Amino acid sequence: MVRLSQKRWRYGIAAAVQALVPLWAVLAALIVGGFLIAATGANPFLAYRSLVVGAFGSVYGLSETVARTCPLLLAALGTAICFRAKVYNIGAEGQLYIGALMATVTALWIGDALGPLSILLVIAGGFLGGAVWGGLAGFLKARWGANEIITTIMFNYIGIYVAGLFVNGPLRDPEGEFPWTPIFATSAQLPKLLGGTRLHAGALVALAASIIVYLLLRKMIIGYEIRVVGEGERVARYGRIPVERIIVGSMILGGGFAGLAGMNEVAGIHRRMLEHISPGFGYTAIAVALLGELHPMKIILAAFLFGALEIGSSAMQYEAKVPAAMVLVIEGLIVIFVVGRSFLIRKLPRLQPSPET
Amino acid sequence: MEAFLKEAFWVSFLFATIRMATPLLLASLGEIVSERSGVFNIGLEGMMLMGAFCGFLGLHLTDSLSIGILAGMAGGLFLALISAYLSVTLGVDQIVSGIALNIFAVGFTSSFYRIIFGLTPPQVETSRMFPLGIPWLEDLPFIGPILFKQVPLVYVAFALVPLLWFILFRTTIGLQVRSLGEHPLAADIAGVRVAQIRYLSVLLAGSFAGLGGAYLSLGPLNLFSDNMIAGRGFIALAVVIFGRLNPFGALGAALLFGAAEALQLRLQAMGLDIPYQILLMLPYVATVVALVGLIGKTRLPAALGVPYNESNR
Repeated sequence: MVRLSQKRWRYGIAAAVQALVPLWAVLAALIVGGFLIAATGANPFLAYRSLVVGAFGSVYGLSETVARTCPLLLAALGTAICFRAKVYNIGAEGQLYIGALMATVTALWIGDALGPLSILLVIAGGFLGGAVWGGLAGFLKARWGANEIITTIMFNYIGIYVAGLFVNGPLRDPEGEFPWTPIFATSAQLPKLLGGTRLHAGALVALAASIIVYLLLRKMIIGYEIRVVGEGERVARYGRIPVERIIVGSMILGGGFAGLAGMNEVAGIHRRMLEHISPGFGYTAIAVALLGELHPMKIILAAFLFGALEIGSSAMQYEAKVPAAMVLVIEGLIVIFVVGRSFLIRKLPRLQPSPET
Repeated sequence: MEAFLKEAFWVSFLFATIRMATPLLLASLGEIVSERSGVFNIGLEGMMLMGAFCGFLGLHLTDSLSIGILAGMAGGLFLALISAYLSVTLGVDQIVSGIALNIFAVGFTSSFYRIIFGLTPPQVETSRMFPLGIPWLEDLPFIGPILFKQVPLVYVAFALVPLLWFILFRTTIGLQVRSLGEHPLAADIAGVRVAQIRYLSVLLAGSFAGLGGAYLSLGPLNLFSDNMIAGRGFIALAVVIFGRLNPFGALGAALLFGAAEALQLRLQAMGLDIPYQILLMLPYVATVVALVGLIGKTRLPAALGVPYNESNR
């Protein structure tokens, strides 16, 4: 009996440690990052303080943080859907670009014609663009078994170049100084939520998307099937789940949400399409999705954290003389600690009861 | 258009092709070994970046080219060590850890470059890698100036191709590496030390990628800039696939990718009205086509990307 209760006690600790893994990982990354900052001769406390103040200390800072959170959140939601099905979609970046491109084509084509409804069509265009791009990689995997890790990476580059082709070619603003498109008509833009800032309705789109993905994964049949395929292809086939269709479906949905991230940037931030609209949101989104443990609600928090880190970094560079790129070190460390969690809990019993108990 | 008919154009174009193919070749050769052993090393990009940074740093601090090159390899090795620990010892998801290491490497190199060289980094000029003409051969017409007036690392990269092919396909250790990629359990039971060989493979990939990165910062560009690898690590992944995980295949694929880049730059310089994006896109499209199997399918090792847990034996 004594042994059993001891086991239970350790089981409880294991569960608690595991549930809080993302928090431990963030904490550990901040501590290691602090040592790295100190090693550069700067004061880590001042650095983190200025980072926090920069990201949250003013209305402007907070609005920038939220604006930065949106593309990360949307792309991470898309990534999470695919990863749930164990489909390794590394292609959010390319899906984001094609989504932005389709949103742009829609916005320039529709103009003000539909009034307030225009933006809905632009949103749909963004989703569709990303969905096509993601679905293509999914189709190649389902039909010919083409490894999606490689194809999605290839489609990232192809997508960026396709977008560049259009921005330099048919969509280019003839009067523009740079390769960019004309500014969207007002009703084809995501409206501003707060004057004097860049906070726009994309934040509401991202929030709604999180809820939709949550419901999709939890309450809908396709979400259930995605999760079963993620548990194992053989299990899924045994349960008569059409694995190929789920692979394509998860890539279509995942690509669609990443496409919304691109739409968010062109219709909300720049109000036009540029050649380079993403500083690697699609790659960072993978980190965000993992920190959020592929759970839509936790991904909101993870995206907000990464958004805050990236916005606060310039204040950190200015105030504490720590290079802004240091936040990327912290982001990388966070993910390394999240995935390396077995290091933390290896000594503790596994959550699945082992056969002898 | 008549530029295409001149010998000078072809010499400079083919010379540039080899120059641009070299870092891709170096990184992909290591990755072939890693993937053959069953570890999908997506952190290649980060390892090249660490190599570029550490190589530049080593050269700048000591003004010695050989130390710069060694430092570059060490930089890639350092990231590979973390990668191997995560993917082999801890058995975490290789894709995820690779992505994390790539982000880490961008932050690490950009931060420490600024810390060491100032917040607004000057373009630090250092003594760089000079071309080394090979006696007799460099005087050959046409191919002499293309093949035999390159920097030394180019010769190293090309020499590694047959060497690595021989090791992979004609030696015991090569067989062991390949067996781990196909069926690690069977290999383990047959007495192959799984963890040890996978560690070695990943470390090899890291040092080769570091060498490729150092080639970029010490060679033609002769500078370090933020995220200067600019996707070449991912291109190297494509080179591996397009080359069907074979060193000679990778050589061909790297030359193809290098040629696309070299041609693209020339077309832009000539002001021709061909959108350069189409040329840059082609190698990626070709890789997808190769993977789909329209021109002979690339088969990946069966156990690629699957962590191996010895306790499951």
